[in-house]
Amino acid sequence: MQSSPETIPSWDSLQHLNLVLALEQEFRIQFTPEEVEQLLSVEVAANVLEEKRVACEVS
Amino acid sequence: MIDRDQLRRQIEDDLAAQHFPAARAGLERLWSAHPSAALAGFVNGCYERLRGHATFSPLRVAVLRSFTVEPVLPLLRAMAWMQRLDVTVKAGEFNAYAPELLDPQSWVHGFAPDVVILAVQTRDVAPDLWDNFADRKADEVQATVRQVLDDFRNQVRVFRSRSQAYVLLHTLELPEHPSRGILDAQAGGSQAEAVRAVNDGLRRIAGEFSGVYLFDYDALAAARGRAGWRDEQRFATVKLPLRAESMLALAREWVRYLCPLAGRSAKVLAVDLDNTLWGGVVAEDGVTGIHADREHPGIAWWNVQRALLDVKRRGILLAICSKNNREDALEAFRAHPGMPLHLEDFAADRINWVDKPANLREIATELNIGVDSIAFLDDNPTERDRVQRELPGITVIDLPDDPMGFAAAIRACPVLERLAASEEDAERSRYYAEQRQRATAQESAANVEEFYRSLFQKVEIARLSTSTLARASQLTQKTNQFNVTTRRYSEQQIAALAETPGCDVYTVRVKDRFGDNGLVGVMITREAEPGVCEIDTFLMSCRVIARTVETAMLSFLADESRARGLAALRGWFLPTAKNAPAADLYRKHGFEAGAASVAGSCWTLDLVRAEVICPDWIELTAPHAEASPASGQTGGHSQASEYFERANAQ
Repeated sequence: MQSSPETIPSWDSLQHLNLVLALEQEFRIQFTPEEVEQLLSVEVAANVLEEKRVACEVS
Repeated sequence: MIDRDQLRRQIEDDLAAQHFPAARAGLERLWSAHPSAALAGFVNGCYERLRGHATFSPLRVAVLRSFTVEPVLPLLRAMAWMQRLDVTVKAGEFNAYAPELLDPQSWVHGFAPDVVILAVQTRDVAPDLWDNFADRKADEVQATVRQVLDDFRNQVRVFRSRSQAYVLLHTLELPEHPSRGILDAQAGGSQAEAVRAVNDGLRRIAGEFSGVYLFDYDALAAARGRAGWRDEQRFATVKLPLRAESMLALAREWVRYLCPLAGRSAKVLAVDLDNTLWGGVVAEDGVTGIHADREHPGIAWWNVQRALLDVKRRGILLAICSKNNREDALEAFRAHPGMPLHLEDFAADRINWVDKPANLREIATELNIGVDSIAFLDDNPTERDRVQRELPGITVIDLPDDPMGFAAAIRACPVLERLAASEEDAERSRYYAEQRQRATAQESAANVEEFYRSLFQKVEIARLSTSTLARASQLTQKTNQFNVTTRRYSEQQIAALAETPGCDVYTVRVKDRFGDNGLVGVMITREAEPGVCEIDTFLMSCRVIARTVETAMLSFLADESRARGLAALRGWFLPTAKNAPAADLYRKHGFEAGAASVAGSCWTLDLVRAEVICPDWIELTAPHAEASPASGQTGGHSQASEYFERANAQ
């Protein structure tokens, strides 16, 4: 759960955007620009999704 | 509803077990039901494993852009795989489309794309026509429109001077809410009109260059709904102006243009009858019980027939493939003369109780095309499935359950699209009706020479011109059988050849007593070494095979070369799986065999000692022989093509 831009070397802004878009489409939600900026680790992503009341499994 | 995870597992199992057709069918079902950014990675990965186990057309695409397009690219690849295109795509630097088009050292030239897409937005290339429009005076707006068009024309001109790649120019989109509100739709000073003026100018620019086309981005946004097209917040943060659904729509629409550019086009659309062409089953409901009219529910099939007529006008042949009693089906057409389609609109039919794959193979043979050039339309999913399994190269059009959606599905099918149209295309179906008459004439002639004479053939050879450019290019790309070297040329490549010194491009038109076959032959020659005219391309449409037209064509090349003082006429035969009909061309006309290689055989005609005589049953019209300094002729006036003159004038 500690995967983040700091720990995965190839995580760049484009990958970040792709992740955001995939999550939005997959769970039919919209992140605000503030939330997008905060999605800096899988743990945070899971929390935000939880807040948006989506059940998801992350490893 | 298709279970996505189950289908994913099934596809992976099929790939592991090397059941490639099943894997491909599964991928098509998965992507049709759940196209998404998340799934694109999986789909693209699977298709990469299918390379080599199925036929795909490779295509290199460069996207030069004024906004963020990276998330669209995997969607483009997935949409393209669905249409049997293997797309290698690279985006240029952010908003660097202008220097990338203009710079001779630009990465684009090294990348050697087949297609360049210029993806730009109104707000980026013409900001004065977007946010600040209300501040502008009329003359400032006109100056902006002119400036934008001058820039585009310059960029395209410079790029085309260095590259033969196809170019797709995005049209600029109209704003959802004009600056002036409802006043904008009234006369004078309209923002919408200004943007349209740019798009009209882009259309003119596309017409000035070979292989440059408009990609109607504005129409796409309008069709999907301007209200939901853009994502202003995403544009503000990461310069991505598109919502998720818009990205999918854009990728899908790009593929509708890439298919015809890649040659992935159907030549024949084979259609079922019951519940496809009309509502009802003629054998059960009777000829009066079926409907295709402007009432409900017949309107669904009325629209299908109108869609098929439009497809036919693009040069695609229609054929019937139906499980029915033949008499019932023919009676249905006779009993409903008000339907848009009539029996004569179809170039072939198989109406019987034999299985459809076998019938489709016969239709392909009868119309002299490869079975993979067929698109198939049938309301019955079981039939569609069976045809796709047994004939994996055929394009099966996916139809929704509701017949009201059939016409739209036909119109959305990429292999039925065309980016160039010629007279031949519009008249192709009529030609096939005349062809049946020619076949009858052949049967009744006592011997073959009498048959040739009975045709009253006129062969017209001319230099390539702007009006014949599209058809000539099409012939080099589609002709497989009577083609000695099978060299494929795009419009821009053929135009470049015609302008090359020492190189000549000729088109051949054949008329006979039954009608005009149109442009059916192309010859390209070059003086490869002094004294020798080498035939780079010699091809004839199978429409005019076995009628001695090739003899008339060769006789012209021989006479023309001799008049220029050349000593020999040389041609290569490069065998392929399909061009056996042309293997004996040179030998039969007195050429001598020369060097042979792995690629093929070389044939030479000594112009001093031998000649090719045009048969006296053919009336041949050709450009006058070029006056050659060596021969001392002074009379002959060389017929420079319009194309040469235009090229020199620029």
